[in-house]
Amino acid sequence: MLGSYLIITLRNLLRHKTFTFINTLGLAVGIGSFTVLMLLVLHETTYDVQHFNSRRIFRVTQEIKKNNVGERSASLPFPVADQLKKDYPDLIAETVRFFNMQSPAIPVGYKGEYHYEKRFFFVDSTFFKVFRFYLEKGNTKTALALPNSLVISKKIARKYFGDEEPIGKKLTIMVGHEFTVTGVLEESNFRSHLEFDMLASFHSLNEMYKMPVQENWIWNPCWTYVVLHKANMKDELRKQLPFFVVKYFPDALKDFVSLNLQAINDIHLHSNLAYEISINSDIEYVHIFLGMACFLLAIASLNFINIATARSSLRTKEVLVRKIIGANKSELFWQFLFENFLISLFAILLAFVLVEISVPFLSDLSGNPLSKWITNDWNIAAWLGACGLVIGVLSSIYPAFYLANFNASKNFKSAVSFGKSGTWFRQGLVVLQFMISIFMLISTLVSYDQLRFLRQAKLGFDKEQIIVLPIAFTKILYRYDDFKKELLGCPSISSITAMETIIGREHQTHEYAMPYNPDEFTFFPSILVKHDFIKTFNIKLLAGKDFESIKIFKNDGSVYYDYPESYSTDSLTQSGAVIINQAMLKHLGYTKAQDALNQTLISHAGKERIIGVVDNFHFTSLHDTVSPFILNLAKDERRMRLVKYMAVRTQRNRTFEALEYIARTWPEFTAVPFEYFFLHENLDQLYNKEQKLSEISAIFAGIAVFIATMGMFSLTSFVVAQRRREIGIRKSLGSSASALVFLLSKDFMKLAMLSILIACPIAYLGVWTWLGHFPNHVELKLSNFLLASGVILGVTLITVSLHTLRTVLQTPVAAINQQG
Amino acid sequence: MIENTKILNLNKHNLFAPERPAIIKTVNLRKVYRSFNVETVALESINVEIKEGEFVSIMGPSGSGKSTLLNLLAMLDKPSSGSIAFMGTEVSTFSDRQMAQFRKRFLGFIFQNFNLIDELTILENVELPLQYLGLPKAERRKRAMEMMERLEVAHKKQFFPSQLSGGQQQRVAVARAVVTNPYLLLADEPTGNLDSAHGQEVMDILSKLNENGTTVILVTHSAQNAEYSQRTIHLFDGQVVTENINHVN
Repeated sequence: MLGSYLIITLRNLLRHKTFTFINTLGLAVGIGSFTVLMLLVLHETTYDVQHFNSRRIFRVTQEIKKNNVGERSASLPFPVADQLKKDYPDLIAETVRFFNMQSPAIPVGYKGEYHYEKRFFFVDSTFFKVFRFYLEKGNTKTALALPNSLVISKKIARKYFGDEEPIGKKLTIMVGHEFTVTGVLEESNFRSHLEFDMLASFHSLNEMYKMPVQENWIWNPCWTYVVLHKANMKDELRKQLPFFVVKYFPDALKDFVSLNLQAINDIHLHSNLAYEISINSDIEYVHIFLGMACFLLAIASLNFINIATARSSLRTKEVLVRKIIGANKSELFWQFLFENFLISLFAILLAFVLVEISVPFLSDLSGNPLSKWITNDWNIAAWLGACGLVIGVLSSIYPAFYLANFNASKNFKSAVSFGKSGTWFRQGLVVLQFMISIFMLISTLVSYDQLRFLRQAKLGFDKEQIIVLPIAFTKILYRYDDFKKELLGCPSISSITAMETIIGREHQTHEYAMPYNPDEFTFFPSILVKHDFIKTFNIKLLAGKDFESIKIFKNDGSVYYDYPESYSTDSLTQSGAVIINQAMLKHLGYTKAQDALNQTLISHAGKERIIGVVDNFHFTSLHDTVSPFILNLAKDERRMRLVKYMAVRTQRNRTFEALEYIARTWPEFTAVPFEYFFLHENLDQLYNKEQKLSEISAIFAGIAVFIATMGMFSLTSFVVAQRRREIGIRKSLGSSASALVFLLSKDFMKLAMLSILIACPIAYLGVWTWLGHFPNHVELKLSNFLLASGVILGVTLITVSLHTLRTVLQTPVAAINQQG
Repeated sequence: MIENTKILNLNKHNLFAPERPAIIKTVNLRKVYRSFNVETVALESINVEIKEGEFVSIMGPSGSGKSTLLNLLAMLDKPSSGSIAFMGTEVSTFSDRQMAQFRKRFLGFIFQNFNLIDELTILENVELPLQYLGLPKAERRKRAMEMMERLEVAHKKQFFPSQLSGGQQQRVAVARAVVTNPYLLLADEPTGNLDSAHGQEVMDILSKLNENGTTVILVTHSAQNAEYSQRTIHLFDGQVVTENINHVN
């Protein structure tokens, strides 16, 4: 019997090639899209699962909150790890710290040639015990045991040493510290939030840092991981943490600090703290991908059901004959199930080809190529097979059931009307397909709008025409004023400043106290900056002034810069200077900006006089709201060491000359190679996730419309076939071709309109909820809804018109003589 | 046909016996169609009895209820009221599944427009009823070929229906209808789509089958075709108006 089913199926499929093609392609694209999205979901949800006992590994995080300001930090003070292990040996088996000098890049040199390395960390020697990374060369037990040991990736080994043996070679870190390579990491396909190329032994810090940082309970630059003896000890440790804080944290802090535990598997998708060790993803995006995957599968499935049931109208005679001869329902059901299942098998094969072709072009939310993680095709095959079989069977059930239940008592004349009974059902499926397409189109348009908004929103400072130069660990820190003066000699450069972190991207948190209560410090978001900050970034000053430098023209025509004494680097007043934002002004209780001027704050460096108040600006990404913020002048050498970037504002259209000038001047001041980036490009990267989402949405919304259009095409051909006789009669009575196209298109346009009417409010709610996650978001525009609706209406009109026109242009006799 | 006798305990009776048993008998058969609250009476008080080995024609103008009666006799539809007994067994209350079982074991059908399955070859079409009876492939093929040879279409066995003339297609349809050796052969205007020569050929075949013991019910417009039968039932507006005896075997 199976052989007979197979023969008739193949003959049927070949006979109705268009149906077969549309049905197979629609299903293949649906299954392929589902697979791709599920691979993406799988990729995002399997971070850090590879570590030995990953369920026992937790990251300790810290929250400092006082008077509603503070920070939620992914990193901790140096001594926390050791002290935790010492105090709770029954709970904690091991600890590991990561430290990167709080610098996004560290200069690394070999034989006098330096490069900035971004993925550099100091780690405890327990690293290889805790995390599942292997060494290709070297011993994991000893590689990080001694000071000045360094483990590097194969990429770094190739970069610095070429084909030479890397073990035993020496690299200069941060200009002046020699480290010996003791291990080369094995390449790994594991997904981990820990991304690194160089790991230096933590013990090295004892020699590098003159001050006792390892005893400092305030500065919190260490990402700290603990391994518990058992996963269920998490709650017990969590209970102990408040006591630990009270016992060890400084008196000024202990009431405002809390520690928490974060499962390592949760970090990639659920953590959004300050100072994350790497850029994390977001569970919300995973949900969106899952939703998209389900939508596409639903659309493809509905399409398949629709085409299969429409196609069944061509099989009425066969069903009747088989029934009359004696086939019972179950025999017919299995026959048609088998047929549809066979189509889904073809679709799976085609989907496999489509996925294979598309995988090299896919990347995850962070932009990493997906193919890197797909170690073999069996992953794809398994997903395709599983999803194809499920969708194949599920989608085949209804058409098979529908055909098998056709009433054999109808005679052959009435059999013609068989297809009509399912019309509402097929129309319902088309409406549903279009609803999903409209929803996805609107979501895509809104996500693009939001992305544009994020990139073009007024940040409160001018990010254009700014070149940023990383100067951490360079001699420029010590010759900053000279370097600045040198650069200002270039007419293409209009202003220069320097900063601790990149404005608009991240900030630090520093302690300040009020003069009336000098011992009570609060952690405020703030950064250390150099002179001309307000001028360089064109921030709106509400009162007071910038950390100004004064341009003095010498008699010989040369230019000289100096700073007002009150907050100059060689100030005699011992007073520093700060500029606050409006939110800080409000926090301090002032209503007028003018009132805050010359008031003082207390920092660990002494008195800080408020010399200016600026309008609120977005000192971090638009994912956050603006809070109180302090710009603090880095006036002494200690603070200057914390400054990491110079910002150079260039004249419009003269960036190239400015860059050439800087590149020429740079080597006179430091041996570290000249590197730079444009601020606006750097800030755009803050919204890479949104960009990726928009791109993925656009691709899959396009696919959804494509599949839905094919559904519409098949339904049109079915209806046209049914109404061919009517068309002939109308034509013989004098109807014009355009009137007939209108007659046939009208019903489909109604379906499209119905889809629009239902989908728009649902899409409105959906995108509104999504936008609600952004503190700063675009307003919903009617044009997006109109555009999506227009696309659907246009696609419907074109599909239906093209299809009906062919029949309409036949001679009336030909149409009348063709029995539907 | 061993299975058939097991189910109904039937035996083909001696056709020359003076009193043949009824193969099918209806009592007060009524069929009403309802749509949009409109009731259309298709058949009313139909009492017919067709004996084993008979060749009976059903005639009547369009809309008289011929096809409705054939559907009921063929167990393709259920009456609104009244009873249908097949070899003494009441079948009007059968489930769809039981009706399907019955049809494939005891009935054969021939249609005006042949109704061969276009995607199957001639041989596969003839084999199809045997396939539903669950016969092994070799047995199916043997019996289908025998029947096709008797109807002189065996040489076209690998052809598809569309490659055959109307007369040939109807021969194939007849072969398919009788390949299971049915008790009752129902033919609905079997010559309606054929020219007179091919039409006569088909009627000769039906006549020959009847002579060999198969009961035949023929629905026709043609008085000429009706003459092949022994008895003609005339329907008008859903009722039997007359019954003519044409000739007796």
